[in-house]
Amino acid sequence: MKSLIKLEHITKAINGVSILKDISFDVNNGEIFGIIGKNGAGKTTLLRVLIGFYHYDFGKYSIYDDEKIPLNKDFLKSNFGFATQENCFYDDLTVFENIKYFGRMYFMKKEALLGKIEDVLEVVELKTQRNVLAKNLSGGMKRRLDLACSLVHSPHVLLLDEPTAELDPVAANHMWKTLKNINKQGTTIILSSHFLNRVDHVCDRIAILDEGFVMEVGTPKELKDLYSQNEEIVLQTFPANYDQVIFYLKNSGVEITNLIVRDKSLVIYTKEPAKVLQLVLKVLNLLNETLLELEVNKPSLNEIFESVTAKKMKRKSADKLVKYVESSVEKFKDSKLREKLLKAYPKEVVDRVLKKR
Amino acid sequence: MKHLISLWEMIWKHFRIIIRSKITLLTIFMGPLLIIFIIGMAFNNQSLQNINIGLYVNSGLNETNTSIEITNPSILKIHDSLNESFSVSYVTSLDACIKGVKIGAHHACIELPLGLDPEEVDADNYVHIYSDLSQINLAYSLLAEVSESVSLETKRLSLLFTENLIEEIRNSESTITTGNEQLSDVKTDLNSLGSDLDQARDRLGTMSLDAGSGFEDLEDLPSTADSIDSRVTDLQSLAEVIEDDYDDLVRDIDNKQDDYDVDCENSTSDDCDELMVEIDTLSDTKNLFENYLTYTGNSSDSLEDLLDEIRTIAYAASASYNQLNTNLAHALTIRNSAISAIDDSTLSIDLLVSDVTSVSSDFSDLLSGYSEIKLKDSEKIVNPLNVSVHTVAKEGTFLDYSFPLLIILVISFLGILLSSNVIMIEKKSSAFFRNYITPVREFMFLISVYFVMMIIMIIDVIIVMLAATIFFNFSISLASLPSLLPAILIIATVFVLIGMSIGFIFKDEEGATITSIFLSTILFLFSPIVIPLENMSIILSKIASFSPLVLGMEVLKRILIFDVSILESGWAVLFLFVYIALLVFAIFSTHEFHKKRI
Repeated sequence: MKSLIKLEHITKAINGVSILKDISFDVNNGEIFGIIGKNGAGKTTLLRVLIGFYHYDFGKYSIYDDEKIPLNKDFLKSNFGFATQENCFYDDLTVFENIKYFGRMYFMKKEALLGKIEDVLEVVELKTQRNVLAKNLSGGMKRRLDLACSLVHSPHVLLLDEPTAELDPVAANHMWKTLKNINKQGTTIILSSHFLNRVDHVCDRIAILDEGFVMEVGTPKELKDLYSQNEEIVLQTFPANYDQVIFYLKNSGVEITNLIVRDKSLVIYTKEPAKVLQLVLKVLNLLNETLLELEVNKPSLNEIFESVTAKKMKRKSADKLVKYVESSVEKFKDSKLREKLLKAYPKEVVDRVLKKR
Repeated sequence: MKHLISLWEMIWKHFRIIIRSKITLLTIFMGPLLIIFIIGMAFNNQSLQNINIGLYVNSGLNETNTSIEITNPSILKIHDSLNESFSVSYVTSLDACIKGVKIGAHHACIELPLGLDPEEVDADNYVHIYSDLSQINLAYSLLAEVSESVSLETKRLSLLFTENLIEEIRNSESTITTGNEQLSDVKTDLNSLGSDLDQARDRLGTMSLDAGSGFEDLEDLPSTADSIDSRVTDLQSLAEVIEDDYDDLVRDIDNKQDDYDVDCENSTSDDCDELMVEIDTLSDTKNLFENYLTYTGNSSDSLEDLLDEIRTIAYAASASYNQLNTNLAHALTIRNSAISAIDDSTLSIDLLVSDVTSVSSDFSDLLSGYSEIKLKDSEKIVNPLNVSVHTVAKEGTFLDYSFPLLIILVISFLGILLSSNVIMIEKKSSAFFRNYITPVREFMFLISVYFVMMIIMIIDVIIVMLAATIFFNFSISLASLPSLLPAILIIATVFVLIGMSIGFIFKDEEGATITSIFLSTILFLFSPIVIPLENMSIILSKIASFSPLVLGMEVLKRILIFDVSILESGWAVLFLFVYIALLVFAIFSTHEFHKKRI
């Protein structure tokens, strides 16, 4: 795949606080790229940099790997769509009015816009709610409306910030399906989420963000292979008395690396998935637990994430950053430019660089 | 073009959102209508209404009004005059009267002395008015009207007294004039008298009381008469001789005649002629002798008579001369006495003339002074300056005069509160961020809010004006429209921008709303609406005069009430433009600042 977006050492501070630190990755044309990280990792800021709302303090941001394309705000705004975490539309306008309004904000002509609205309504499945006031929509519908507002101008790249946040599982599933459909139509999608299991299934490639650093970038399989030998078994049961299930599993003698309850699911990390699976089924039967859902992944992105965000990995990444800063400082003879460069990086990194010098 | 389309879309979006909120819609469009109706019905008149006045009549004793029968005509007149405009009630005591003002039962309290008598020198003629000056805007209007009612009686009495005085002066003038004329006559007469006396004196002085000389021979007159008598006797003797001669002549004539008659009867000769001539001559001589004899005879008789008379006269004359001398001597004495008296009289007359002259001079001075008095009309003396208050603007009701205020209040409150609210709604709206990530320039969103607000303001102003025109006969001259429309746009722009600035500065709606209300209140208080600016300290008054509300009010007042062009309010409009420039800068600055906080 051809590289569509390339970020090189993007650094961004807000109000003196360094949010993005040496962000480097590229996004291929037509893929679904996921950015995962904990709350406060810098995902939203990164997306806002990508849309051009924030201007980065240092680094390079290029489209199509072609520096000749003027990467100005107008270009980004016209070709990128952004579905926010907070549902950005007008509550007192109807579905149709919102989409039409934002379509106009993208200078779409009336006839083309009306046709596009119908298409978008179909994509997000809000045709029957076209005349409903936005504030009267359900949570899932609101997210879809937000998505529709970001799709109306047929963006080449669609950025989504936590697209399934505050959605129930059904709505969330629906959203993921919609996104896949959109992607199939050729739209490159960059999304952020902390729902790692879903990201795992949907995204073609993932960047792991932690405290402003990009820890790793790769396909889910690559990351899993890189960081974990475990398989991840995710199951949902009813009535979900997981404590008892865990008790039995732990005392079963089968090798289980980790057992956690996450999002009403029981997640089992094990190097012997087959054995554990058999045991699980037996235990569930014993405890009269009805199995609702079962997935076996290898490995779990959660586990990878937790591993990646371990301190040693951060240190490793920080060392890389120091090296980069050092080499960058060498390039700039002008002291003002050096000062500007150093300001873009965290204090601890700058201190280390200056100490070395 | 595409930006205009997106601008239109933004404006329409704002209106859709506003319209969707029924209460907001009602407030925005019905609010001004309600205001104009309420204010129109309240102020569509030209006089103070429902004013209560307490009247206390002070007897000077500890008597209450109830025990006093008020018959004083001046008090009754004042009461009647006040009753025409106000509701007047007698109060029993001064304390009660003043308390009535304090508790709002009366708007003012008037104290009149029972013995109010403008004509009485020792009377206490003070009229005390007690008023509540804390009702600033009402107090002075009320005091003016009350004072005018009281002063009507004062004026009436002043006119009366002045008229009396003027009448007396007029009478005095005519009397003085008459008297002056009489004095003048007297003076003339006195002068004439004096002159006559002088003449008389002169005459008396020239009077010769000397019998003269020659009368001393008067005693010799009889002897002279005797001498004349002897001469007459001689003449008589002579006459007798002559008579004898006459007789001889007659005989000659007769002889000659006889001769002629004899000789010349029948002949004419020279001798006859000569004889005739001689006869004629002798006849003539005879005649002459006859005449002479007759004359002398008569004369001698006459002479004798005359001589007798002369003797008699002489004797009498002598006696008379003597008497005359005596009388003359007496007359001289009298003359001298008279001259002396005349001199005294003359002197007195001179003094009198001098006095009369002096009095006349005084009278003349009085008359001169009186004539120099230009003002002799009692009406003009009482009111030397006729104060006539004219309205610079056309006559109108309180609504007409307060219309600019009404407009400015609608614009200012709506502009500040609604604008800040709209900005807040936009900021708080979840769509706020999405607007930033569209290709539309960020300032277009600001412009759209501005246009929305301006459209709403204009609609409201039109509603107010139409309502005022239809229901309260308010009229706007078409000639003022070219000035009025830009003025309203400029003023509305200022307040809209103020509201937008507040909306951008504050993060929360409560802060923005409170600040909007607070700022509006400050602007309202520091304007002539509540208290005239001239009542403030100089510095604050100067500062307040630059308030956008004050500037806007001035501009609108000049256009609506005085029909003045907007160009003539150049400075005010200039300052408003300065405000606009500053506010635009502030908005863009705060907008950028806000954007960083998203």
